[in-house]
Parts: sequence; C-alpha cells; structure tokens
Amino acid sequence: MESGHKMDKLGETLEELGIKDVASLEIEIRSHSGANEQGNKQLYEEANKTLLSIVEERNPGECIHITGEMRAFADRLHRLVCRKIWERHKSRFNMVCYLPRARRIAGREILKWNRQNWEDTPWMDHLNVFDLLGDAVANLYALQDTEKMHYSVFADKYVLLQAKHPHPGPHVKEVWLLESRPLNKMLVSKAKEIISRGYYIPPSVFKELTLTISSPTALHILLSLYDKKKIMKEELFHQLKGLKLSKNSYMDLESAGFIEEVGNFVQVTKQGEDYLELFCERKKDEK
Amino acid sequence: MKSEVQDILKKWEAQIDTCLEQLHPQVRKFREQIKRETVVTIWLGGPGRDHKLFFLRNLVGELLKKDNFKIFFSEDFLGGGDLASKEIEEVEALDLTIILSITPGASAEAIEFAYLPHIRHKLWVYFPEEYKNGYVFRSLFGRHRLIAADSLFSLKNFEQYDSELAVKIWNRATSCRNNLYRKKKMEKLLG
Repeated sequence: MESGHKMDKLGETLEELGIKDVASLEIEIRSHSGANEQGNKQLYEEANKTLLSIVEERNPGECIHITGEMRAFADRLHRLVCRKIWERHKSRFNMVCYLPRARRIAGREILKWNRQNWEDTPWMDHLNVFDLLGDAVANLYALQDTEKMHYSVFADKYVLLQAKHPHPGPHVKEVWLLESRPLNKMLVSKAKEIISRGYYIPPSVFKELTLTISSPTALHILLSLYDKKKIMKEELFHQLKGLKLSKNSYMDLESAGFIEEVGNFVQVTKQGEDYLELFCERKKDEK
Repeated sequence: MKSEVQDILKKWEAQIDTCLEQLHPQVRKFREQIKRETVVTIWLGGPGRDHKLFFLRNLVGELLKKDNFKIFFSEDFLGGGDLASKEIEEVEALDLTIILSITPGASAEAIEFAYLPHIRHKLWVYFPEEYKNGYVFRSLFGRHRLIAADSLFSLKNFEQYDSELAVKIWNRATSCRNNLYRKKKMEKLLG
C-alpha cells in the first residue's frame, strides 16, 4: 500500500514535469520522504552526502537546483558541498529561484527576502550564504515567477525530486532521491532552459553588502549604538552626514537585523552585538 | 623629489588619522588588531610607468603597504600569454582589485574585468568626475554598476596630491580586510 502510493505519487510528479514512458527510464528510488520535517531533513542530508562523496572523487558534472526560495542554501552541509565542488573542480553549483525584480537590485533586498522566507535561520548562516555567493563559489539565477516543479540534478545520474507543493506555503513536501541517467539527462536539459530564462545575480551584489557591513562606518554605527543603547535616528543620520559617511552601512546593517528602529530611535539588536563580537571577542568584558 | 613624495604620503596618512579620530575609538583598536592578523592582497591598476601620474599610483600603493596590505602591480609579474590573460590570472589569485580608471589602458582593464563574473566581484574602480560624460563611465556605471558615489574623485585635485582618493581607497581596502577577518572568524564558529 505504502509502496503503491509512493509509485503513484512519483508517477504523477514526473507527469507534471512532462515526463511520460517512465518505465523506459529505469528509475531506481534511492530514498523517499513523506511531507514531514524529519524525513525531508534526512533525505536532503543523504543527497548532500552522496554528492559530497562523488565530489571527492570526480567532477560531479552539471549540478542545478530549481527551487522556490533557495532555502537549500540555509543548509550548512549544502553550502559545504558547493564549496567543495568549487575548490576541487572549479565548477559552480547553480541555484535557480524565484526572486521578484524589486529584490534583485541590492544585496540588502535579497537579505531581507531570505530572512523573511527562512524562518529560524541564524544570522551567521544568512551571512555565510552571502559569502558563498559573494565569493562566486555558486551561481544564483532569479526567475520572475515560481517554477511549478522543483528538483535538483547532479552527478550525471541523480535527481532529487520534489512533489508539487504550494508557494508560499509549508516547506515540507514529499521528496524522492532517484537514480537514472536518462531522467537526469532530460531534467538537466529542462533546467538549462530555465537558467536561460533566469536573471544572473552577479556575485558583487552579495560581496558589496558584506563589505559595507564590515566597513569602518558600520563598526562605528554598531559601537556607538552599543555604548549609548539607543540613538535618535535623525541624530545618527546628522552625524553620518557631518562625517561625510554614506547611509549604506546603516541600511545594510538594518537589513541584516543587526540594528533596528524603535519609534524615532535606533538600537543595536542581540544579533548585532553578536556580530560585533566577531571583531573583538573581549568587547563585552571591556564594557 | 623624494622628500616631496614623503610629504604627500604623510599628508594622506594624517587625513586617514583624522577620519579615524572622528569615529568611535574602538574602530581604531579593531584596525590595529585586525591588521596584525589578516593580510589582504590587492592588485592595484592605473596609469603605467610612462604616465606622469604613475608616481601617484605608486604612492597609493605605498600608503596601503604601510598599513600592512600586500600590494601588487601588474608590472610586478612576469609571464607569458597575452597581457589580458596574464592579468586575469593575477587578479583571480588576489583578494581585491582596485583600478584607477585614469588612462585608456586602465579603463580597458576595468571594462574587460567587469565582463568576467569570477573577477568582477573583486573589482572596484575609481573614476575621475571629469570623465563622467564619456563612454567608459557609461559602461562602468550603467551597464556594469561598478561605480558608486564613493568611487568618483576629482582628477584635478588628485594631480595636486589631494587626499580624497587615497582616503577612499584606504577605506575600501580596510572594509575588505575587516570582512576577511570576519569571514575567518565565522568559518571557525560554523565549523
């Protein structure tokens, strides 16, 4: 019964992708997860570990992930896989996601978007994703509409296939890790067509934000707020203007959740204090 | 000439000191701590050896070297292949690429690098306000989004050894160094 349902749902999902004559594709189901958090987590881990072990031995070929909110990047293991692919083979993992035009213009808009979509993701992971993309280790392509079907293709024969699921909506879904060279080939071809419709977001968009929030101006803002607890927003802007400093650091720190506006005041957040600690571990002791 | 050059360098350093004094005192402490622990490699492009402003490009390099940055000029490297390929290889290996887009050669480098996604994110171009009506500006600003308000400078003032450009470059290089330091710290914590 369980197995029958699994096959029916897989058949339906492949049909949604326009794939018929499934029998000829010699698909082996390596793993399957129902629409639950734990099962999804285990299956993604298995897929990432499979890819990681292949990367250690050879170039994994085309690696493309067609997704909604690029949540895969929130996964540390997945980011490690992307780094290894780059370090060992000078190839890049390609992520294709839905990102409205207005969000593509600046790193701060993308960061706000990710923070809104990846609930419970620590700030360090958000920033680490920006490092990954800012270092041109992985490619990000943005689509104006969410693709109907989401999947990953990698290492010439693997497919991580997700059942159709609503967007926005709960991010758990039925998922399969499949092995089939013909299916991989068909989906790589589809994924490349999707990439050709995507807008490539240059690494500089991500790099720029990480540089701005590390600038002397950004550190000045954080340290001033840390000392005074809170400052009138107008006063801070007036001070920055007087010192001929750009407001970009302020806006980028805010998008990262390191500072926040409360009424007419600005204050440093707990995450902002933790971020500041990276630059000087003894900061809190000194205070 | 040598003492004049030293005077310019001192003037630029004094201006950076003034900027730091206006910031929270801890920013200066961070700078000292981070520069001891983090070495940033910078490819500094700009007017070539035969150009009258080469000595100022050289002086910007000296300013950064004194603050513990490792500076490379294209002229430092030997190697075969065509010049563009040789430079791309150099830039790929370093942390940051700064180009003073003053001469046709430097501007060509900037535009060529701007088309390479794996290089472009390391590239920062400083551009004379006086050349804002030209094609190079329109390409770097409009098409490549490589020029922001703080990458413009007055060439006239630079020729008179004004510190504006030097301070802007120092600020960018320092942000890059802070960022590298932060990344290393975070990578350790993330495991």
